[in-house]
Amino acid sequence: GDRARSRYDDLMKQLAPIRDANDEEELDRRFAWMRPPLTKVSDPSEESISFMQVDMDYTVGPALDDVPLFVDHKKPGKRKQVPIVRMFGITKTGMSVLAHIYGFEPYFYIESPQGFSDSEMATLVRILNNYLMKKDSKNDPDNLPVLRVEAESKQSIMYYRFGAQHTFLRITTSLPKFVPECKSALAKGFEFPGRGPLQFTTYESDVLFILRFMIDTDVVGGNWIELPAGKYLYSGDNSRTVSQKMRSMFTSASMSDWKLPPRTSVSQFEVWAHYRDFISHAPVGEWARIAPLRVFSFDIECAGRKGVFPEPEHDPVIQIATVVNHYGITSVSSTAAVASEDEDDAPDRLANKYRPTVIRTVFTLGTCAPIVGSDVIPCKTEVELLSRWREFFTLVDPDFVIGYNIANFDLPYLLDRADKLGLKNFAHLSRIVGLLSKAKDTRFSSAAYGTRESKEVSMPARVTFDVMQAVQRDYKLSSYSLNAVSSHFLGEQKEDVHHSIISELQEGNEDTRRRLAVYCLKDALLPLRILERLMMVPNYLEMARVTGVPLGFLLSRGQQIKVISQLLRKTKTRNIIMPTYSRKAETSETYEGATVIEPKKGFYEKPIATLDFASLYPSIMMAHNLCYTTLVRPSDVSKLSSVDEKLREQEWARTRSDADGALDEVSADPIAYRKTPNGDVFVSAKLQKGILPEILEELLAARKRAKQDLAKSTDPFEKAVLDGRQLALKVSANSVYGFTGATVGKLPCLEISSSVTAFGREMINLTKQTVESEFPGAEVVYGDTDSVMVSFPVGQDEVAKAMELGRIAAKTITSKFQRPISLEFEKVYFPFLLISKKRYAGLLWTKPDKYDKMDFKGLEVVRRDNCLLVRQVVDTVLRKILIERSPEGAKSYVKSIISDLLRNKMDISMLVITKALSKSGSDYAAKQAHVELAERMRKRDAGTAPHIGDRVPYVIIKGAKGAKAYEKAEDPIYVLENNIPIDTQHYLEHQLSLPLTRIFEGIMSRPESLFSGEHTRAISISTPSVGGIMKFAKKTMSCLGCRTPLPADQQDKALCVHCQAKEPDIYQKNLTELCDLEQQFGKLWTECQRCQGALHLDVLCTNRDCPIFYMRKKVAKDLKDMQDTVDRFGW
Amino acid sequence: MGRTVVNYENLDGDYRVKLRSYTHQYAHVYFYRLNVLRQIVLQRIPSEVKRVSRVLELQSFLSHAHDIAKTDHSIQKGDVAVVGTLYKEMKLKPSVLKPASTVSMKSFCSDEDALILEDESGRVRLSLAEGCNFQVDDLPTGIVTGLCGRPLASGQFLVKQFYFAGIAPQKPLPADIRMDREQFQFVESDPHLLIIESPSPAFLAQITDLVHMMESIVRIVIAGNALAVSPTSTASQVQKSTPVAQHASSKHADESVAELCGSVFVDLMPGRSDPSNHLLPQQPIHPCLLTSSVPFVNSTLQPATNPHRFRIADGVEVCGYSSQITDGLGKVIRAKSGDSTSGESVLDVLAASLSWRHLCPCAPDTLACYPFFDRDPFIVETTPHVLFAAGSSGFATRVLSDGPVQCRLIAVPSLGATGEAVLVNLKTLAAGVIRVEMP
Repeated sequence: GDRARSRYDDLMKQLAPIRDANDEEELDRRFAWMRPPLTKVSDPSEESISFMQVDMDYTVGPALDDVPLFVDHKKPGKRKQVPIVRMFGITKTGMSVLAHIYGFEPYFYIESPQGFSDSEMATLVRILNNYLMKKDSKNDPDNLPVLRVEAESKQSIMYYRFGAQHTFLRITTSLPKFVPECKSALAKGFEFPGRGPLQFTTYESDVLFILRFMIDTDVVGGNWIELPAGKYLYSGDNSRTVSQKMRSMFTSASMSDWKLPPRTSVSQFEVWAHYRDFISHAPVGEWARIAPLRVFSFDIECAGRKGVFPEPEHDPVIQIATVVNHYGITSVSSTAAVASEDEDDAPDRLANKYRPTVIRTVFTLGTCAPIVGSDVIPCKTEVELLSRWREFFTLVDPDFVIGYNIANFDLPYLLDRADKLGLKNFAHLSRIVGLLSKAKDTRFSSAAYGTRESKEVSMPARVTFDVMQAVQRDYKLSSYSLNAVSSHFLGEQKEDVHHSIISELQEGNEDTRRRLAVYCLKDALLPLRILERLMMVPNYLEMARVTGVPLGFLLSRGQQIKVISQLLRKTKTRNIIMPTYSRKAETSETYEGATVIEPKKGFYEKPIATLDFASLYPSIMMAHNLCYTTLVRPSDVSKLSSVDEKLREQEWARTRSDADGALDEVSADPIAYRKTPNGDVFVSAKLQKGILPEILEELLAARKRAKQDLAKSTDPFEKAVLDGRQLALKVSANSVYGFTGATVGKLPCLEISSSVTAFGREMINLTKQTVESEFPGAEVVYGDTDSVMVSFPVGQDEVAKAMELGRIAAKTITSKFQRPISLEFEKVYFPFLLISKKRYAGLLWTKPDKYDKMDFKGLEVVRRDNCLLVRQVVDTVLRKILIERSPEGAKSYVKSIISDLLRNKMDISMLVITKALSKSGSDYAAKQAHVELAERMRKRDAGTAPHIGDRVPYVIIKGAKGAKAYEKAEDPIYVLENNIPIDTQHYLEHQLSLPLTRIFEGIMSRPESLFSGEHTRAISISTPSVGGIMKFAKKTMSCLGCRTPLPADQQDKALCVHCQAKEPDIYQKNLTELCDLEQQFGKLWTECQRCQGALHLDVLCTNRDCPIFYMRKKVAKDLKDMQDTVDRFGW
Repeated sequence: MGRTVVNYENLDGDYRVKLRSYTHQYAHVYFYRLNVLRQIVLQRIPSEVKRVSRVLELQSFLSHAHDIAKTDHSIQKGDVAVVGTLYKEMKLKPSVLKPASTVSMKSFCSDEDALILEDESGRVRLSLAEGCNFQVDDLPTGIVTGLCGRPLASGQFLVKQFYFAGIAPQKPLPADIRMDREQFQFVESDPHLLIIESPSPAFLAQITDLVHMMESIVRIVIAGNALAVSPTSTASQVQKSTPVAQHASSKHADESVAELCGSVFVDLMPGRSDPSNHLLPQQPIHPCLLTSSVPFVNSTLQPATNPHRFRIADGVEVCGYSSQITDGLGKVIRAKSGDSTSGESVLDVLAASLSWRHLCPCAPDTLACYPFFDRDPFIVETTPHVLFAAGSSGFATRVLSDGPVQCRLIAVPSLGATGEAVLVNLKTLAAGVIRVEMP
């Protein structure tokens, strides 16, 4: 405790006087960075406090049982050290708070042996404590692991139990770490006096302590917590001042008579409370709002050595740019903003300086010219740079720390670098005093997201949010570079400075460093803009609120934890507990998936109606009451007939009592249970409603409400929150099915998941039969998982009629299924090109008068491993076929493209393929084109060669006969500079042929004919200026008219004597080409000037994702060559 | 009585680019322009304004009162001034990244256009106070301007007044020449200059007849598009027609020019669709394309640049440019009348460009120009006595005067489209239109 206290003081001392306290500018600047000054609580017994928690963890500390506030809650058991839950939050006025929550104890369950007595329970406590104390001698005898064992009547979640409850033993431990230790002891088993050897199955023993706490106190991620007046201890901030002047503003906190525990964080104030005393508000109404959050986005620049990607071991950090925005606050109230220019009252002046507008800073190594709207802080040494940025970080006290690829690059780099420079305090980025952030390698594996290796930097009490990871998770894009992502979401190309230039800029003067700083600031700003554009804050916050997990779990963990959190919240209310499933590895048990109705391939020039099952899997689970708690053990199935009999009688009695009329004919099928098409038996909701169906019903009902509210809402901020919520609810509902099918999961139940897919298959088939029998002439052309596509007998352009029939069919078929399964008519495709399973394209109509958009599934337009040419050609072809309705136009377009390609007229940026260089050449099993190329480029110029982690752009060139495929990749720049011939045949055969054949198969009889014929005859190949025979060639001028070499004495002429007469024509032809190139030159460079946002600075960008990059390179070279040619005509 | 001969001096030197290099980017042009004009603009700014010369320094003047009345545009104590290059953000500006629309746009102006001021140190967004002396629509990218006003807390700069370099000084006119503001009158005994644009060979033949009749015409300036296939075709369209057909038509034109050169001095400027280069300034047409008229080169035929500048009649300085500059400027400024090609609108642009001291500030942004790195030839160092712009839809003229400086501004319509040629009396500098029969 005292050590923490002194560490806290040290930190503050180190922060405060580092710069001259009389430096007014520095003081003002620091003040502008800080959070709004603390409005202190004057009397905790009169005022309540509420805050939105953004992060939660727990620590272990001395018990406070004798604090008057907590005494009432004291429970039996010997403890010195207790777990303390820490909730980090923000008040509605933007102050940061840490709440220490005491009194919550970890626990789990075991099945009780028959007739277990109270004294036997005491024995069990003793046995466990003895065992654990012996196992670890460091355990303190004054802090015994197991506090108590109590008997409770519960039910296991697994199987329908015919209403029977069982006795379970609840084992409460003093610290969370003892739970797994007890669990393994109990699972292993031991001699129990009077009962012989006993072994136990544990229940809920692997629930994370924090999650346990949240579930039991009804706390969900990111909700509001209220501490009622008189129920907490308070310590306001009085140490975060940087000068005496400022200190006068923060009057010291009111201390209660009780001696407060030491403060342990840099939050503005801290409170202590008992877990039974706080109020957790459900996120609805006024408690749905979002507290003003400080979002801190940063980017670092490092000076790499020539040819090596920066390594923290050697290469200094030279700049750090940061942009801080306030989520939920856009401007301050006008009273604060209109400040007088008279400067007398210092505190007032300082208060007025506080402006929660955007903060932009850039810390630079070496001098740097100023940048409008940003604080430029030049530092003399790297140590100063890092220390001052860290101070800045602490002063800003961010809630969200974001950036692009910060988890894998910026954060670990900073930590490693600081370590290398011996900056011990640098890693103090969390809010907890004395807790240093560390980068650790993680391997994240999830069925939904795949496996990804990455680094994780822990920063307790703040949410680290790597925008790159979030985008990778939620969006499928062809590239995840910051360039590509900003161009995709913000519609802007981004200037890109190659790392080889960064060192040059750094070594220049204050203006070149300013150049770099502007670039660095842009890279800090873009992640923030992407975050805002994609509304990630409300979306993630709502996901946390809906599923109940802490915000931090959403990025670092998979889908399962979200389902578990919801499941446990539900079971708790039903007195049900979950067994701890011991993972049986290597179970390769699989089950049959969804069904696909074989596509009737072709081009449909008539409306095709699409019928979709709304939320198919969730509604199947609801309709058939599929759940762990309703599954009947095969051995219990025989007991069901009597249950069914009883239920029938009850039903019969009920209907007779409240209906006067005729009785419904009682069906012969059992009403208490149902056998699924898979052969598993589940009881019906009439008998006992399942937990999963209940969760799903609530999720979908909540989604419906959110959508209704969304439609009503007019406030854009509220709309964002509501849309985030409805999306979160949808995703959550769908993940429940996946949870039951995850064989490596926490509680797989293949009886449920395989029954779901079996029902699904049955439904798709029934839908097909019904449509085709009840709508004569209708034909199902394709069906997959949850949708069927129907060709109704309607005329060419009768979209409205197809819609009408679609609606009728949907209604008819829906009536055949159990509620809430619902088949919905959603859209019509017209025209429709069905290529194969999961591949189709069409114009999508939701209203009869105009199509909404062109829609395609599974086509090359979106695939990333293709060159731009393929994507563009496929897109244009589809447009021509679908929108212009001109298959002929599409064919001639393809022919003209192929002809351009073969005649070498294709812009090289269209042909560039990129692949990420993820490991060095020797680590790849087989030789790969891009890896080999990177190696070759390194030999040419180590400075600009790609490094591991870079994406390598290349084109396929004509190789020597028999050249291996991997030898034929070449750097596009090198190709441009040296006129290297492109392997156009490769592009034709390996890139264009397959996707185009697929598309045209449905439209024409011999799609191969597109790739041969007249338009493929003209071929031109450029003459390379390097290698081969060129080495021996002597340069001789030839006539520009007829290409014959000019005689030695006429080398300075443009034309030979025979062509002289045609001089005007030949000159004009060359001049025209020159004009075209000049025009391009002008357009390209002015575009780049506009993009970089500066007219007076040279364009440095090397963004290879931008099509202009290669064009610019090519035009400069071609223009020079052409100018030389035209100059030969003299004047 | 023979044709009067007046002395003539070609001043195209600055517009000539002999050894062309493309290793430089456009930043140098702006850099040079700002450096030359900044000092001049600074002198225009009233001394009571606290001076600032660089954009970056605005930060330290950040105004606390960000809700000061936007209507109050009077310069007050505490206002600051800043000088830099103007950049106009225009949503409609064509971009190589967007698929080019086939229809060429008449104007890039829209209501969403926004102004930015930039110098070597940075950029600042501008917000115009109500009652400010200029509006967004009046100003193109690339002019060097001084602003008085104050920075707002939002980071924008509230502009109360714009200041430009103003009309450049002028060489005095010869004693016997006066700037006559009266209506143009043809005086047989005075020497005249004839300016035409886009003449077809048939029109050229008529002009030759005219010159035969009017001996007082001492020189003809063909302000572009004489050798063109059609007056509207652009370089890339020319490429599509076969070289032979193309040459046949320009051959015809060349013969007509040769005939004209037999009777009078001719300045042949290239225009948009002439066989010259694309980037401004356009270089003189290569003699090999002037098969018939080449014998007159260095005697009566002067292949000229576009823009073109010369001194005539003992000291009258004439400057002018062909239609692409007129069009280019017309696209980025919104004309008061709404029609940017009308004679009056073109005169407005000419007058404005003299006050900016720059002939085509929107080069290189929307008008392609050569990447100069050691000069900006479009800066107006001395105001000419006559300034013409070809390519308007009709003739118009007026005299711009600023103290002792006076300049005759002329909008020269296309001869091919209107049958109109412009006569300038070199004794009075009055300009009038002469109509030629449509052939």
